[in-house]
Amino acid sequence: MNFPTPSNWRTWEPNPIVVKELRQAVRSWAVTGMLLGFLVVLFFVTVGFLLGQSFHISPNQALGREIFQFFLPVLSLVGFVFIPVYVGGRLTAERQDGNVDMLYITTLSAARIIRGKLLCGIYLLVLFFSVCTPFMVFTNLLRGIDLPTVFVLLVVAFLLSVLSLQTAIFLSCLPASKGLKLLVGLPAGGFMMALVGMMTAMSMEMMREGIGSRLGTWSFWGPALSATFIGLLLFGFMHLAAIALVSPASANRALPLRSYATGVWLLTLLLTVGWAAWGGTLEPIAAWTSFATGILIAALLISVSEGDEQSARIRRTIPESGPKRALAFFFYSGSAGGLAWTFLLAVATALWASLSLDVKLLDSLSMAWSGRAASARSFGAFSGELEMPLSTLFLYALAYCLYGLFIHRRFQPHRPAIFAGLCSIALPALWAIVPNLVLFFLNKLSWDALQERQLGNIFNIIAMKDRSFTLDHQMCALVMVVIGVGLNFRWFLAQRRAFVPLVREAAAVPPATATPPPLS
Amino acid sequence: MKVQVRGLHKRFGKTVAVDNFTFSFDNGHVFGFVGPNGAGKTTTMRVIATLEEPTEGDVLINGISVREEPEYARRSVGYVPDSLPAHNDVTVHEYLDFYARAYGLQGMKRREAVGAVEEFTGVTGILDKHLKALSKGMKQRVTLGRALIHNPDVLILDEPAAGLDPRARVELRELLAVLATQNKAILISSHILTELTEICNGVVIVERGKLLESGTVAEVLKKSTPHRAFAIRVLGPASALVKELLQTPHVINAREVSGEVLLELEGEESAGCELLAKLISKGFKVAEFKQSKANLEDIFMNVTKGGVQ
Repeated sequence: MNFPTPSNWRTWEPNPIVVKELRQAVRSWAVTGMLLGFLVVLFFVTVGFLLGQSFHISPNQALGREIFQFFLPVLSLVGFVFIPVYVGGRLTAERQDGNVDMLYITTLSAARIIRGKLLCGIYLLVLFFSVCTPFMVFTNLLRGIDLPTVFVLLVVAFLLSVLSLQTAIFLSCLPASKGLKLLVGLPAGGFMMALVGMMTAMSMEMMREGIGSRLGTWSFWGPALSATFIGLLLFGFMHLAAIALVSPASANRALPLRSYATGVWLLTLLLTVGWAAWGGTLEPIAAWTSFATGILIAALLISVSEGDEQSARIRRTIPESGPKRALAFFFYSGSAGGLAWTFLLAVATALWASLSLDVKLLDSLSMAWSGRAASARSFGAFSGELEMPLSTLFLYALAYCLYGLFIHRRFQPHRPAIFAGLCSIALPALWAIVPNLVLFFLNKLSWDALQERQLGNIFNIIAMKDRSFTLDHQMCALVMVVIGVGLNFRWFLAQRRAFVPLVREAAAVPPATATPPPLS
Repeated sequence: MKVQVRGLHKRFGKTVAVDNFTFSFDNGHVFGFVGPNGAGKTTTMRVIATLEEPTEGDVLINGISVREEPEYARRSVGYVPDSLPAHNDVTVHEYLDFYARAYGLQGMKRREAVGAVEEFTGVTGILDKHLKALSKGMKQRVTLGRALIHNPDVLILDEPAAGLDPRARVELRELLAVLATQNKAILISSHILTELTEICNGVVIVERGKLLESGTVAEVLKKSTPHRAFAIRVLGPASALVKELLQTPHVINAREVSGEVLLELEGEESAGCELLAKLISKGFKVAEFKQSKANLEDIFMNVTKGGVQ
């Protein structure tokens, strides 16, 4: 991070992207117009409420709260929607034309580019929040709301705005056309709007209860810290993913993301264990396992879309020593390493889930911590309803990814690596649709038919009525994985063998191109 | 050796954009990079500028590999793409200042660099103008300024003269001539070959992703047109001269075109003198006898086959 310190404050200069973006923002009618409009709204709302109140004889003891309830959605709308859309829109536009190329040719790193965009958005947020804060603090004088509530709600709104901003930046970096980004962005925009509603509802609840009295209690800090922690994890992931997306294809894009994901996996596992042991329940483990499985399935898709070839730039950094190199294989860009990394984490996840069930490790932990055993009901429910379907889902996903990889390599090697990922999505989708289409044309399609056992159909695990079919699905998925491994085994070994540091060629004599005399 | 392109290959799916290009150029040299559309010029230039990674082969810039260390290699490269800057809402000064910051120039160094480039490219009178308000010629100057802001040793210019009016082209040519005297290695692509002839002392000719010729203009000329071309005008019927020439040893392909006789002659420069002496001794009244100088356009037409991909 490029921050001013006591030693460098004389020579410190801000991120060039921030300077450029802010210069453009202050010149932009979108930002200045929105700021002026925002001020006008705040001013007239305040004046309107005060004038309205002047007609009443009895004083309104909740006038401040009423005004605040109007201010917060307006501020949330700006923070959750307008500024993220402005920053994301600009980044999307830049990535469509040649400007990004020009940035790549400079010595600016992808991380500084993304950080610059984010900081610019944060500065704009600070500007709008600074404009709004005096009005909000003023509501305290009109009664009905205390200062801690104003402060806490402003902090929550600000943090959510930063998360929205990072989401918008991440979406803008996706390697897709403007239209596709719009398609992805619309639901995201809808979610942001919903977030404004949620924020308003939450603020009303907080104002009704009053935060000031709860500030010293765990009932406030527990959920607040948990939400902040989850938000931070999301923020970190989207920030690193955005950097990876704008980095050149030859860069080691997977390394920071996989390192981060591994760190988060470990940290959340420890926290979940602590939580489960403290509460004497398996629900946190169940939630964590479900979430981890979802993430690992997404990681499978990303891994197979990475491609086989490692650039000279990556190979230059492969460690010489055996153990370090073996570790690097899991974390460096490349489909084989990505699959191995995902598989390893999946095995560790499954192992932990089994440990907590069979050895009753959690039970002992729970006894040691809180003096009570974890509930027996939780164990049973977790085993039957979650562990089996989750592992089956992962195995199916792994099998289809291996098939996608094989199809790409064997039949369409000239297509970009993302083709393997698309195949991995298309295959299960086709297998889920085609048999039901046939049933439809045979006039035999019904809800019952959909809930029957359909081996190989990944969605059937969720839809099927009879849970005893899960074992059949698991066996089928295992067979599919074995076939997939068989198809890709030689390729995987070749990839592992090829994961060696770059051997520099001896300085060859320059080619026999005559060099002309200098211009006179 | 500033820039060495070694066995460069670049494939996009099934399309081979660049197939085994090998050439080099040094500082103080202006190398023309010519070829029809789709020949692989822009791809090669983007590889040299570190914007694309080669599929095979490498480019060394001052000994630094663009494959292995693009971050270091790009410090020595200034790249002018074939598209103009798209930051429409910034002024000329802000644009150059931004890129100076992006290249890590700080404080006084940055201000000096920006000032020097503004002066060199002649944009001092339009510093507060927005890029969108500039003419194409002025935008091209600003782009050149951006490429020069970190004082690179190697300058890569992709079609810099495309779409410019004659005056802007002349001005750009003058700027490039000055840059060549500043010991920079320059690779320039253009379709206006007559213009390249005036500023280039080396040439690389490519077509359909293959390198056809490279070297100094004189060397390539010698290789592509091994015979000397002459034009002779005589008083009296030209057909007699054609008949005589076709019987003369070392004369190839004599023909009459618009009252002149065009021929190609094998041998050294003295062969022309001997031929002239012989014609006069045989009684031909030679009014004009001139050697046709081939230029880049002739070389290009001789070497390429007109194929595109």
